[in-house]
Amino acid sequence: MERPLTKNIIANQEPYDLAAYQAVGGYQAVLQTIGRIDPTKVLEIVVDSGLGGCGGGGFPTGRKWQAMPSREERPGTHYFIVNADEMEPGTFKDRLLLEGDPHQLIEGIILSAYAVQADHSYIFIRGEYHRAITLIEHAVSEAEAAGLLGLNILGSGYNLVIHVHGGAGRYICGEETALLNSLEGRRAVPRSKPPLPMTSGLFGAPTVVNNVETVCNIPHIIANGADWYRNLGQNGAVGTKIFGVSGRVKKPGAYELPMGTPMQDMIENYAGGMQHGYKLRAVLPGGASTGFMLAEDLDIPMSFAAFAAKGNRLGTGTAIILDDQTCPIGLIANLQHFFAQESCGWCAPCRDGLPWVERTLKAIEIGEGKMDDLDLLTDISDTMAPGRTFCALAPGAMASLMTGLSYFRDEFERHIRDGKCPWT
Amino acid sequence: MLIAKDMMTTTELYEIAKLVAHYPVARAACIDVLKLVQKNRRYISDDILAEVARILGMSISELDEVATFYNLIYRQPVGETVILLCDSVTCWMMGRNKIAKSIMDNLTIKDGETTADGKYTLLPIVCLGHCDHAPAMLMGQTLVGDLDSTKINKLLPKA
Amino acid sequence: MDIKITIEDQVVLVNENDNLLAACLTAKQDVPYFCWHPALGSVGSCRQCAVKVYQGPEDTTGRIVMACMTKMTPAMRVSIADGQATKFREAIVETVLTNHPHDCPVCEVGGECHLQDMTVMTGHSARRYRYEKRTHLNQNLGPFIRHEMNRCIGCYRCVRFYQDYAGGNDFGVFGSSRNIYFGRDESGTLESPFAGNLVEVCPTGVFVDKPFSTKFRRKWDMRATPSVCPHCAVGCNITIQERGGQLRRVLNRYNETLNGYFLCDRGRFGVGFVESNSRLRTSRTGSGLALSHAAACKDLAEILKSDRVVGIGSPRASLESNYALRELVGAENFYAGISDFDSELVRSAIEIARDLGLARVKDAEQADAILVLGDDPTAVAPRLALALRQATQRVPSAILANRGIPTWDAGAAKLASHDVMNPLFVITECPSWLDSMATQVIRLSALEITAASIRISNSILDTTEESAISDALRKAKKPIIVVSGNAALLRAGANIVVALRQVNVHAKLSILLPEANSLGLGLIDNRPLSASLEVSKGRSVIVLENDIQLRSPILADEMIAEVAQLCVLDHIETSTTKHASLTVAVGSFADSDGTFINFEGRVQRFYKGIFGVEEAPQSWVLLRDAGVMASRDKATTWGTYAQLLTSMSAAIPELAACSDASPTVPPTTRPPTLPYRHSGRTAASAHIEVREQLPAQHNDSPLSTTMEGPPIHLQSALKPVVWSPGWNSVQAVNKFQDTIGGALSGVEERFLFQSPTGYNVFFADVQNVAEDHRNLGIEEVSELSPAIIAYHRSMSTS
Repeated sequence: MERPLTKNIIANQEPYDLAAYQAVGGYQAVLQTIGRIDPTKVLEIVVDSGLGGCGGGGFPTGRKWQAMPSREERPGTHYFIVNADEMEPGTFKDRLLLEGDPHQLIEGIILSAYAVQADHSYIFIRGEYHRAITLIEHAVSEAEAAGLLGLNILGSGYNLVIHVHGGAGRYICGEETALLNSLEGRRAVPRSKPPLPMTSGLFGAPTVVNNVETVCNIPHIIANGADWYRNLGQNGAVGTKIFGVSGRVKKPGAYELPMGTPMQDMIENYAGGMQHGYKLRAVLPGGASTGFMLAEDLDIPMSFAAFAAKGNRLGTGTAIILDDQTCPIGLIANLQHFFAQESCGWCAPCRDGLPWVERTLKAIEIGEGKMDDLDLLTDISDTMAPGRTFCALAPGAMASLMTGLSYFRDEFERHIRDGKCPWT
Repeated sequence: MLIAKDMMTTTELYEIAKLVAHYPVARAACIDVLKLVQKNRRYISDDILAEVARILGMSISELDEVATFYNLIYRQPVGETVILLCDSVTCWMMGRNKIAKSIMDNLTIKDGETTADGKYTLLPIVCLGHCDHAPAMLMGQTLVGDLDSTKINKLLPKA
Repeated sequence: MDIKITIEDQVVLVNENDNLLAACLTAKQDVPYFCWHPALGSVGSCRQCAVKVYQGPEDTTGRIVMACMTKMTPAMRVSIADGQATKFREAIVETVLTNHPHDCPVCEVGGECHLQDMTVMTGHSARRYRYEKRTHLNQNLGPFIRHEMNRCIGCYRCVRFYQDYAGGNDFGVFGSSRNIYFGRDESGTLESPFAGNLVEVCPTGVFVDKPFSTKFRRKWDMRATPSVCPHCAVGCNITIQERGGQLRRVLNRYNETLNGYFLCDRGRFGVGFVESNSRLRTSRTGSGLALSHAAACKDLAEILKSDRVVGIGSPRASLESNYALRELVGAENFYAGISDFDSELVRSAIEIARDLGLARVKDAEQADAILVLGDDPTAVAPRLALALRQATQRVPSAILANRGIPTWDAGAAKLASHDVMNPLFVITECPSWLDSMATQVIRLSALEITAASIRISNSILDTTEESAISDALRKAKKPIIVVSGNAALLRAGANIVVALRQVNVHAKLSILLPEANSLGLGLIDNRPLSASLEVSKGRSVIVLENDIQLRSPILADEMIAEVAQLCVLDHIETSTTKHASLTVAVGSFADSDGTFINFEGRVQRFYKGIFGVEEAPQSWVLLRDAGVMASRDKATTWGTYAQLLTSMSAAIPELAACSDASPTVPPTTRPPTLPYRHSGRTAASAHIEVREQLPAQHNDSPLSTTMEGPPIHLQSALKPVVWSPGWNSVQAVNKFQDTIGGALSGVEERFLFQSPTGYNVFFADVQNVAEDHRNLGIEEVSELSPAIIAYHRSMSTS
């Protein structure tokens, strides 16, 4: 089984430097592409590959790129931004790529920026990822020294500079327009869409924002072709993806698997199943912003489409396992605490609604809830349905609450009826 | 070693100029610059905030709007080492509250406080992306996972 | 372009360039909102204006959208009453109220609170939130504004106004999530000269009018009267509110083409002079003997009986009072009483205005290139400076169109470009607030500015001469030249406009003038104080609302020493009243009916708004009564205000517009200045007399002094107060505009200089004779307001 994204990553070892990366075929795609293949051709390959955004949205990357205006239409700087603000609770895939194979990302940036004809790139890495920042900065300077970045790359006339920006915290920076505001030195409040960043992005210029994992796929797609990439997937999905499992499984970790691998397969065969004495009760399939799935539904292929068909989201593809000895109310309260704290404060329902949800859940958890609170929670989550808040943070927060209210109704009622948490 | 709270060193001014050069407008570098000067002073005092604002051509309010938005910019003094203990879902599930209690007991501080000797500050943090080794924390710049009380007693022994 | 959409099954014609919220409000539908503001645009933060939208006839499910962020398309169907949308809007109010203290009974805004109105509109009544509210410490924001952060519902209007609209940078939003704080980085006086607008911008009571707090009354307990700000030549429209003969506060009075929704702080807080210690309430003799109003009138009549009395008018007094004095002393004995410098300035201004016409504030706001010459508009005409800022901050429409950003999308527009703005060139003597927004700032002496202006007009016609400024002006479609200072500079500035018009660029000219009625007085008489010196010797001189000591201490001393008698009519104590042998107390602008002509040539009527016990008469009434007593025939011909206007129009035909601006309204159809709910009318004066007092008698106004009169929707555009069912706050103005943000329904405005004559002719250069002794940014009367005094003190100590 091929695992292009992680093939160079060896646990507990320093990542490849430029020479080592090149020795295993690194930057070949750049050498064969920049100045040799027309950018529109590169873009076409990515469109054909069917690559979807790996930050959680799954939106076709090629289509995003096609929305970029040409340099003739919009003279001036065009930006290509890498979103390495991985902060979705339960998600640890981008850190693996950043720390494990920095040059893979740099190569991906060069090819992507070339495809959309961007001449300036920022890598926005969350501030807590100290090691990743150091490694990526080092990789950038190595690439610069080797003439892979900077002015007139490989004599092609194409220019690209990369600046690594370390974040200063806050989950909302992962929202692509909030990230742009943060890069402009503003409060990381999301922007209204439209206009999309491709039309009016960083400093008003045409801008593409892509997730780390998305960008890391590009060198392999360009080197091996769209068909190769499509064939990596299973069950109608394309490519591979880094999935992950955390919680009370035997081998929590990240695994590069074909897109479309059944979730059950990953949990049982890769993560080794549940630890002794624990039973799997439910799964948050792709971070804190996805809805619960019960044990009986885990035969689902892990792809954006399959999850969408079930009214859920694959999200970041890193699953959080809820076991039978953890209070589901406490877990949901923990999630809502996170979202309430990380709301940027811009729109009313999110800013003031999430703290209300959090307090209500805490009250239920410690046995001070009322039956009416369950209707209240349903009402508030309705207020934060997709499209009703300014960005996707609050609707994401509601995914676990709404599925939780329906799957764990009896637990909620038991807490309220008994006036205490059965797990404490 | 700490630098006088309201003075900017020549090295810092040089570094700031380099950071500003990465952006088409000076103010865009403000977060990078705040982080840079914080590194040398642990936190952003009102004086240094005013100084940074002046250098970047921003008003104090404009810069403080940004500074107070981000949780890794400290506007109050913190200890030599900031302990950021993850409080997100997997770590919570895997017992981060017990770890927090061990740390608080060992350092005799509460969450959000700094030890009397100024060595440590304990703060909660969102998911550190180390969920497969939960519970996890950042001690200064070092990521530590698979925490248990033994590990805590070794890293942060009782005074 | 107009398109048809359906709102609640009614087909309505809407402007495609509007957002859906503005269209719904234009259709007079009730849709609640917080963060949207017609002048600040849409940002979509409060989520309050949700409606259900169906795209075309096939769409049966529809979707909830925020109306303020929604573009309109033909065949769109909109339901405001939709159950889901209604429920959502109620939920939003319930959510923002989780942190709002229910302190309405002790809140100054209670009863005129937009948050209260919206709460009622959404139907929310019972609260379910049972946890702790977030609380904040308040800051001391200076003498104008009181801060009550706990009331905040986080709509972000305050920062958007303060920073984006008014360009202030000492106020912002701090923190994040639920813990956001709107204030300064530390306690201290707000620096923006427009900070007072926060009072009206805030949908609830976070920013409260501090001076008003000390003499607070509920909206429905105060008389409201339309008025005109007397503190500079812009003449912003204001509403004055009084109770028990006391002026309580000033609110913005919406005027689409002038001040729009906003005032400057001098305008809002300068009126404190009316109630200040410097107010002159009692007449007196030279030896300090107090006189009753009647006795003072009699003494004035005695003076008028003598031969050849000299009258000194005033640019801060109404046209009517100036004209009345002129009639009593004879035109040949009437002098404008201004400095030589101002006299030259006004003469040139009028000459230029007749030839070129004058720009309106709205023209400044919509300009695509600006050249400021001479003085800092922020000091001389603050509201115009605020308009100029809007022009500079507006991202050019071509860029917005290219990005597909509607003009109302304030959030996206602000971020669409960080470097392409409409050009602003500031060529002034002193640093200006506008410098920070300027494309180029040039600091020169007044003389050099004139020379620079001449070079600019030359290079407009002679393209071989390189000039960034003339290039930008030539490329613009609607540039504006704002000029102020001395007469020579005015003419040089006007010549830039002439040059631009010769190359078919329709440039407009704005001339800043020193005082509220500088232009009006100039049309009656423009002779300076110095011209009256000789004739005053040994004669009696009547000075009308003018501190001649302030204009020229040397001239004034000389005059005072040589006159037989000095009679001063004023409403404040000045350095001139000290020397008067007869000081007569008269009404202030708030106590008077009159007309000012502003720097745009706009003829604006203000109305008596204070009805106190034993109050001093207004100047023209006093002059009339004394004139009748002195058997001056002329005075008997204008027994009423209307007759005075007729007489004035006959004598000075150019001022006939004043009669148009003051139509006669029969008593029964006069809008009431007392609100319908003026509570406790019978008890209001019970501390003086337990019997109910008769309503004040005042026939010279088109407004009624009582609470009886036509309901507000049947009133003309001249409404004492904006108030509509369900809309108790200042936002009710939406109900009285034809289109949202447009003109008040039925409004009629009067302007002079409407038919420019010498379109293509350059003005001859003049040499300035008089020296410039002006003290810019200081207006004598507002300087007496306790709030303004406190403001200066706080700014000088901080």
